[in-house]
This record gives sequence, C-alpha cells and structure tokens, in this order.
Amino acid sequence: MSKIFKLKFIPFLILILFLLFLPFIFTSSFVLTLLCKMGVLIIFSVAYNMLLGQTGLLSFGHAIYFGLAGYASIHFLGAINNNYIPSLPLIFLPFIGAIVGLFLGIIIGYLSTKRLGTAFAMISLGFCELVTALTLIFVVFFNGEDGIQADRVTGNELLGLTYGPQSEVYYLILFWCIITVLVMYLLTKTPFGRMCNAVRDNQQRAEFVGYNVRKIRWLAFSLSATFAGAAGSLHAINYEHIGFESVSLVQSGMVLFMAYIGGIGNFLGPILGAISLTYLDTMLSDITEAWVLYYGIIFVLVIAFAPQGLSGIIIMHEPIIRNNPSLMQKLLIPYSLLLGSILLTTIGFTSIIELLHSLNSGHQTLKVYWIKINNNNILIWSAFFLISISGIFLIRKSYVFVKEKWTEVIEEIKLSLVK
Amino acid sequence: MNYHLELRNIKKSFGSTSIIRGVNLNIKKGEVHSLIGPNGAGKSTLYNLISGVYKPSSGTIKFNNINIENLTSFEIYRLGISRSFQITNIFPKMSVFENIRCGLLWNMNYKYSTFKILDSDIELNHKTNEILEQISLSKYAKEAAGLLSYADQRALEIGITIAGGAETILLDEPTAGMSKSETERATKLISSIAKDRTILIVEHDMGVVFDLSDTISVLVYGEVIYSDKPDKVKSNKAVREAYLGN
Repeated sequence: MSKIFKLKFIPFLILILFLLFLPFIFTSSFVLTLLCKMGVLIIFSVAYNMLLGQTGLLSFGHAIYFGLAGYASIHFLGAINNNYIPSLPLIFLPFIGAIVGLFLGIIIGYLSTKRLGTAFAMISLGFCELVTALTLIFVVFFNGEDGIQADRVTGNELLGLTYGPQSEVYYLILFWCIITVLVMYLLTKTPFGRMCNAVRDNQQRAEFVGYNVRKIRWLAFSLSATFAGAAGSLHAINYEHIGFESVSLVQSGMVLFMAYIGGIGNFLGPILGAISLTYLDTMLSDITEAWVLYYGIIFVLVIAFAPQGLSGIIIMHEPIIRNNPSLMQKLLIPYSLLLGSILLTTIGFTSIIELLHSLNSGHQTLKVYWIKINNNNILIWSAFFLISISGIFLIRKSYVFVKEKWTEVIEEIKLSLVK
Repeated sequence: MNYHLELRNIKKSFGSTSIIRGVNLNIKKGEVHSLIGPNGAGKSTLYNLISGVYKPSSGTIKFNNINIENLTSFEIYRLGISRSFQITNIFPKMSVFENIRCGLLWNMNYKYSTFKILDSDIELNHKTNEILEQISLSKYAKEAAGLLSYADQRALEIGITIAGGAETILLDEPTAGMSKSETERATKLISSIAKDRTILIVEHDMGVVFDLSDTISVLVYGEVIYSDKPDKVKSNKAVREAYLGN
C-alpha cells in the first residue's frame, strides 16, 4: 500500500465511517438537525471558496444561488405534493438546485465577471439586494417574509426511505456532502482548477500562457453557483421551508465568514469554517442574546490577527511535522500560555458585554460562565475589567514568547534541511 | 520579402502624448533581434503593442503574414508569440513546478478541461521536469515561486515563456538587476532557448546585446533610427550620438 494512499485515503475512510455512525451516537433531533445544517453549509462554503479562495473573486451575493435554488426546490416539492408533476425521489432534488444555480450562474456570471476587484464585489452586492427585494415584492412566487414550505415526504423513495425521520435526511445530506466536496476537490486538480489559481495569482501571466481569463472566471462563477444551488436544495429539504433571508446579504455574509474564518488559502478551510461557525452560531444563540456581536468580534479578530484562518494556522505547522515532529514540544508551553491568556481575556471581555447587555433587560442578576452575578455590584465590574486588561497584557507577552520559539524552531528546520 | 514578424508604421499615443511615432521593424525567422535605446524610448510600449496588451493607434503588425494588431494577448500567444516582462511576472503563490506546468497546459491541448487530473498525466509532468532541468530549477520544484531569488524568478519566467512552445519569444530586460555571474547564467539560458526560436530582446547591458544578437534595432523617441548587424550598429554615427556614446 503506497504511502500517499495511507496518508490520504485511510483517514478519509475513517472519517466517513465515523460520520455514518454519528446518528447512532447522537440520537436527538436537535443534534441531527445541527449536523444536517453543517453538511449543507460545508457544501455552500466550499462552493463559495471556489470563487474566493481559488479564483480570487470576492462576492457579496453568493446566497442568491443558494436561496433561489432552495425556492425552486420547495416549489418542485410542492408540485409533487399537489400531484402537478410526477414524483421524483428526494435524493435527486439537489440536481434541480444545481441546474437552477448553474443557469443563474451563467447569466449573472456573464455580467459580473466582466469586472474585477471592487467593481465585481459591488455588482455581486447589487444583485444580492436586487434578488432580496424580488423575494419580498413577487409574493406570488416567494410569498414575502413568510417564505414557502413543502412536505419532503413525497412517498416515492428509493430503498424504502421516507425522509420523515431526521436521521434519513442526515444520510441524504451526508451523501451529497461527500460527493460534492469530493468533486470540488478533484476540480482543483484539473487544468481548470489550476488555471483558477493562476488567474487569482497573476491575471496577466495567465493570459500569456494562452488563457482567456474572463472565461476562467465565468466558468468558476458558474460552477460555484451550481454547487451553491445543490446546497440550497439540501437546505430546503432539511427545513422544508425557505424564506427571503436565505438569499439575503446576511446569508451571503455568513458564507464569507465561514470561508475566511476557516481559511480561504486551502481546500479544508471552508469546511472547518462551516463546522465551527455553525456550531458557534447554534450554541451561542442558545446561551446569549449578544451572539451576533461575538460573531462580528471573532471575524474582525481573525481577519486582523490570523488572516490565513484556522486551517492556515494548522497548515503552517506542516513543515515542522514533516521534518521534525519532536520540535512541536518546544511550542507546547508558549502555545499553552497564549491560549490561557486568550481564554482569560475572553472570560473578562464577554462577561463585561453580558453585564452591559443585562442592563437593558431590567434584571439585576445574570449567569455568566455558570456563576450567578449581580450587575449592580461595582466590584464585579472592576474584577472583569481587571481580568480583561491582565488578559490583554498576558496575550502581548505570550505572543512575543510564541514568536521567539517559532522562529527558533523554523531556523532549526532550515538548518537541518541545509545539512 | 516576407518577414516572420513585421511592424509597419506603428504609432501609439496616450492622449496627446505620442509614444511610438511610426515604427517599422522586420524580424527574420530564427534570429536574435535586439531592441536598444534610452529609457523612455518606447521599447516596453512596443512590446505591449506586439503582444496585444495595447492596441496601436495606427499601423499594422504581421506575424507569419497574419495581422495581429487587433488580437488579444491570449490570441497572440496561441499564434506563437510569448513574452517575459520587465518586472518579474510569475505565479508567486504556486510552486515552481506548477508555474511551468501552467505554461504547458494550453499547448498540450488541456484548455479548460474539468475532467483531466493533472497529477496523473505522466507526459505533462515529464515535460515540466524537462523544462525545469533546462532552466536549472529542478531542485526548487516544490518551493513557492515567490520565495525564489530574483535571478531564479527571472529564469522561471523564461521557463514559463518557452513552456508553451511559442516560436517567437519577446524578452524584456531579462538580465536587469542581476549580478555578473547571474547575468552570465541568464545569457547562457537565452542562447540555449534561441537555438530553435526567434528572439526579440530589449536589454540595457550592451555586453549581453552584442554577445547574443544577429540584428540590433535602435529605438529613440518612438522611432527606429537604425537597424543592422551588431558591428555596423556599433560604428554607426547616429546611433553613437543618440545612445551608445563614444
């Protein structure tokens, strides 16, 4: 068995097996719905990154393809429910979404890929606002703010599945998630995929190796919209409902967050981003009403201090692990100190935000990190301020320490390579 | 006589400023033709006109008897003209290997394929390695191109330029900013690629120019004032006054 096979395929197979067994571990409908949401958003964010990370096109309106494909899918399901059209097994519904995404991608992509950079981003923003307005104006098709719904149980399914239970929907989404992510991964290995990177890196040179860069951008745009459309279909199946928010700027911003926080520089980034942000989104919104604020803070901090995203942080350790894994030990203490300082700052800072937020609620007591506190006690306010300030101070100190050790480790690797 | 590349009365103005003022240039197949002249003479602009970056205000450019003055850069490339730039123009985030492989794709008929997995194509990868060997960058194949030294990046750019099999190569100051030993290495590389190609070269290092060229054209203020063999250019009075000095 080759080394590459061992390195790449065995972990992949283990992961698939683990994912197949997940519904047996987590039986609650809440967790399954969360996992389904993660699966859908993984497809959506990887599709989005085909545009942003792979081709270098920043779009503020990618939810259009996701949302409109969702609308089309719900209408399709509705037509089956009402016996207007013959029944189609649910597993094929993402094809409908993909076709809608492709169609829209070809048309909108044709117009928007004529421009680059800021102009391209502005055009995408314009389209996003336009389509959001359409969903609210054309009530006949979109049903305004209420959105539309349909029953995913159509009664004509393969292998005796009904898609009534959430676990069956989980397997449907898992199936499509694996297929689409795999296809998108393989696309990065094709001439098209490599030339997307080439266009991102240096458009002029890409022309001088014979490529029409506009065509590459257009193709990337259309394919990205196709996969976003498939994700939109699965979203519609998962919730049996779709509303205007799914085409809106909020949804477009969400997928941008996911790609960026996970890291746009490599294929795994958006997957990590989709998993972590969907989890945070669900968990934080349960714990605090100020979760949107935390979301924004996380985004700003990642862009400012770790623009390579979560996956970028992991991948920057690859040369160490490849050349001399024992050197990781040298980073253990500095990393622990930095993480501890970040944790301390987070506790202090979030507690202050919660205290501030509680002033609006009229209640004097609130629960912060499992502890009941009073918002009218000056000592508590002072304590959290002190924790925050000492946390920031410790972050600065430990960051310098991490940098020092990191340089030391990298120098050691460079030396060993020269030898 | 039919030339490989022919420029007839080419003019280019930006607003009211005339940069190229009626250039006529004939380049024979298989020759190394140098274009020299003071800064601001319009050499890079002329390159941009030949390679489709700019469209001429008037005049014609023929390549193998096909009019190319209104074609786009990628169309001109596909006809067989490739170029390097004054400022290094590579794919900095991609590996050195990927840079060369991208240069090969169009010519090997991959076009926009979304089906072919490149890593499994033995012939393509073999050709990539051959070019890497030719430009002496095999040992850096896996490194990010942006991390190479300046001279190696220039060599890589020449590698990308020749990878697509173009029969005519335009090189824009290929040895600018290089040390003596780096210049020698670059000159050797250019000589080796010139064996079966037509080369048009813009260069300020007169040692390199007189070493490599079959023909030299002198461009001053947007006009070709003289064009002939190197020894005749050297002894021409007008050229010495305008550019070479005594």
